[in-house]
Amino acid sequence: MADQRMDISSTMNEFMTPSSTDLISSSMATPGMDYTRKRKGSITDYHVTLFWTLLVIIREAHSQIEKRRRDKMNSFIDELASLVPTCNAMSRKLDKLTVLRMAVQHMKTLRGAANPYTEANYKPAFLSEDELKHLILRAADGFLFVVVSDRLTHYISPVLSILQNDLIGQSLFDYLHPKDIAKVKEQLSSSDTAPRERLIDAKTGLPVRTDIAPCPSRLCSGARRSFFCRMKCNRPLVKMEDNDFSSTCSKKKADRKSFCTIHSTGYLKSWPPTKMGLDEDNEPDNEGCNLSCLVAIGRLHPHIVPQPMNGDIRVKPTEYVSRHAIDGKFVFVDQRATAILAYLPQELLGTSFYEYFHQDDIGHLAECHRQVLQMREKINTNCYKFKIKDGSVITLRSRWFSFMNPWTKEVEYIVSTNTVVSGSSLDGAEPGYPQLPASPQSMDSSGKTVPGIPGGTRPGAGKIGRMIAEEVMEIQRIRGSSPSSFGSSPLSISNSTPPPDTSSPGGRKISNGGSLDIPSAGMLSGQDSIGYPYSNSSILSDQSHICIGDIMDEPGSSSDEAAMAIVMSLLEADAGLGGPVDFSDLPWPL
Amino acid sequence: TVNEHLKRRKEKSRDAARSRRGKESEVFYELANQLPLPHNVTSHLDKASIMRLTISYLRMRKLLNSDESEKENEVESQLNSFYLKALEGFLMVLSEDGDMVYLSENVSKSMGLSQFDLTGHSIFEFSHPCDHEELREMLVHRTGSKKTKEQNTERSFFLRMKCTLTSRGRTVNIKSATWKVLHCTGHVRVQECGEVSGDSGFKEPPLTYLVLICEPIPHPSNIEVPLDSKTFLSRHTLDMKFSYCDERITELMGYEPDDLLNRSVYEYYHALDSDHLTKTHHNLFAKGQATTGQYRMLAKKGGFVWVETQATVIYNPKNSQPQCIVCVNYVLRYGFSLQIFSKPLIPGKQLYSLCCEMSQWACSHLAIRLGRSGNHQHIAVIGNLVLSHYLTWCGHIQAKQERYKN
Repeated sequence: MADQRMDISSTMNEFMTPSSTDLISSSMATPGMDYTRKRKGSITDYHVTLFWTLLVIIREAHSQIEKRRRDKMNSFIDELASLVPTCNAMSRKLDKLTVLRMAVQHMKTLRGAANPYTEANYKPAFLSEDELKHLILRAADGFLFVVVSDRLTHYISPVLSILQNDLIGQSLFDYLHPKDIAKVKEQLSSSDTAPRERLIDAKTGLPVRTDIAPCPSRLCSGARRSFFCRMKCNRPLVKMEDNDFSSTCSKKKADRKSFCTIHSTGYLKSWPPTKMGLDEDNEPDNEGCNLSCLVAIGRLHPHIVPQPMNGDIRVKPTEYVSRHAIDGKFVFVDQRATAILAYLPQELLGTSFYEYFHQDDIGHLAECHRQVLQMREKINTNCYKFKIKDGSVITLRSRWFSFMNPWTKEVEYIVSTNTVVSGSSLDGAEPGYPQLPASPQSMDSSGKTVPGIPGGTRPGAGKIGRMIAEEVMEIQRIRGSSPSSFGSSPLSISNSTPPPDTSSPGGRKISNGGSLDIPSAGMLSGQDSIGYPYSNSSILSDQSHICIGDIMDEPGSSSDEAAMAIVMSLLEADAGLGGPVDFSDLPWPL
Repeated sequence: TVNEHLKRRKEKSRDAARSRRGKESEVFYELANQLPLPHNVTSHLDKASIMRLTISYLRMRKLLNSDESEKENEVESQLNSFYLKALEGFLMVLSEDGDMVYLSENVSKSMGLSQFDLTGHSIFEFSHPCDHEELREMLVHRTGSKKTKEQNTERSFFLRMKCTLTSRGRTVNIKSATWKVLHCTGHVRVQECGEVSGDSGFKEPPLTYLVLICEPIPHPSNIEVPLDSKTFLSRHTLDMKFSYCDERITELMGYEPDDLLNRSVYEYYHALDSDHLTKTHHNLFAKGQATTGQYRMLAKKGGFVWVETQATVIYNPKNSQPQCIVCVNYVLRYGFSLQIFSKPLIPGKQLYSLCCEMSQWACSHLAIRLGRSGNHQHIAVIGNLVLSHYLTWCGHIQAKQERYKN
């Protein structure tokens, strides 16, 4: 009906063109007649013309509506014909009446087969209960369970695959996570221990406290329940929820069973169902509710927050910047390195990066090292392994370039931008990231050692860098003023003192604060603007007071919560969190 | 005579038309009777409705054609009737072009509109226009070729549908319908039509359809189910700062409600979840209600808890402007036990596990600050960092104690 009305008004708008209204008004322009004044009870020419015009308009509108209806019906008929097998089978198009007749026949056949009229509780339905059940399970990814509470034990009778059939008759609590037992008990109980009501006032959004006892309708048949709990889960296809870091090391992992968070929704029902009959609508209210059962569908909680997969995260790549002397020793490391490598800057400074390279990569990286000292352009390394504090390795890829002091024309240091590469793409080359060909040494099996250099070991590693630096310097001296690839003034690396901020061998009191002295753009064209994010007031300078002594195990039981709080604030400070920390009350062994 | 001839012909055609209409009405009546609906409903259906209901019925038959006719015993078949009632919400099957091919009978309990009012119509006629684009995306299903991966069949989204139920349970006219937010979850399915159709000799194309469970989100002023002690309520200003928090949060997460006032809830979200939660909030503001799925909130003394939140925008009844947001928060489980901090440290294994637990706490907080680092390797490294710090520091304590002793 609403459709019709809308159609009429829209059609009328089409017909109420200016010309038709002119027609009405012009015919009225008889002199002396004021057609705005209605004479009571009399039908003027105006009215008559209006009447006939409207009639025409309505008739037109009506026929338009009729046309639309006919078209709609025709498309319905066509669709019906495609769904009725006997119609479909015909090669010619059938008339409306025949299609309808065949449809009736078809419906009779279908319904006759599906719903025998002999069933006592026959209720006409589009789907049988069985079909509905399958659809629900398809959509919900869940199972039905019935829990009978006689206040002593709870029986669970699952119907579908997640929990095995032999669970029928078992106690629900055997299958719940121990920490959720109390919660589920609350939900199942029909006693006064139910929590007091917490409602929200719809207008203010503030809670309305009512300390009255839970209203009886909560406890009786039909009362609804909805809650979350963890249940044991056998199904191998289920997404396990154990990637929340809590299982990295605890010895409890061995005993850990797989639990899934289940969202259960359902209702209370009087027990036993067979006595009360299946017709739920006619159940009398059972005020006593001594024996009630919960009928619920447990849905594998479908709505786990999508976690960013390694490849999906659109964040800046995990990277840090380091500076090295020409022999490869760390002279500076930015704050982010600590989070990536687990070493504190102090631990790295003065050590050679070769000490952290994997043997297989040394050949290639040594070659890069040589090249970067001789060229003015950026060198990209291949992916290589870097040993971090706990002994494990991560995969990095670095971009190196050497910084030449414009005044002294000496290479002062090598700047390395190091990007963590995720494990899977060890061999993958990123587009637009040109690489040096892998060093031939790393190809053959004896690539573990760089020829002529004692390989692999930590002290030996440090030597590699020095040797390369010396080698390059030698080359430069011999070459004299041979032009570099960028045509800038000859590189002359003398045996000058290392850059002023190299660590002295003894103490490790390095001030890592202060901003990098970025030379003018001309020298370092193409310099990325990433990577020097630390502020002048680096908190790390405070750390310089720490002497990293021997790590002692079994430190004893003296620490208590206060100590822990101090450690926490230390960590926050270290990572640049929070505000400035007052270290004055720390028991530093100074 | 010619005139009489013409007259007779007109009469004939009029009679024929009348008789045709009569026959048509008869057949429509018969068809209506075949519909699986109560007689008092079918006798009042107009022709167009009879057609759409019949067509939907037949389409459903096609979709359910094959499989799943397992033999079930008597107990199982008795339980069949429980499924629908146990659900919060109703079932809806959508065809690829958005027709509501099937809705379960209990749709009227949630939406006021009845099964036979809606079946066969397009969902686009009954849903909010701003949600149509999202809806269209949900209906699409690209089956993977050999090279590309199979598209995920799971669907989960929020849809506003017309609702003729008032908050007091009365029904209003469709013209006065309001929008109700439904959380729709389910799967896309493709049904192969095995039969060869007619003379044409080729198989019909497979049918794509969407099976959804549509659940309304309970309004916090009208929650039917009892909330257990692992839930807490919170209220927020529109920028998500806490303006009130239920005291239950203390036993669940360690915070005093006062700790939280005027702080943004984003400070407490785990870094890895904050993207998703931001999207949920957009949904919340656009549609009026939303649920978050499982996410992590940082607990006071360390670690985090897994939470699911149902959020509702509360409007000022005088000017219909959004006023605040009320959240019902369900604590699902803990990231790690908070109890560990209340025990005194004992050297050895417990110390080690404490450090590892600490590292998780540190991970979660540092992860926020370092900005969405999802790399697990990264996180593990942070853990090591913490461990080494802690042990180092403990070493100093011991050294100092020894010095004092001497």
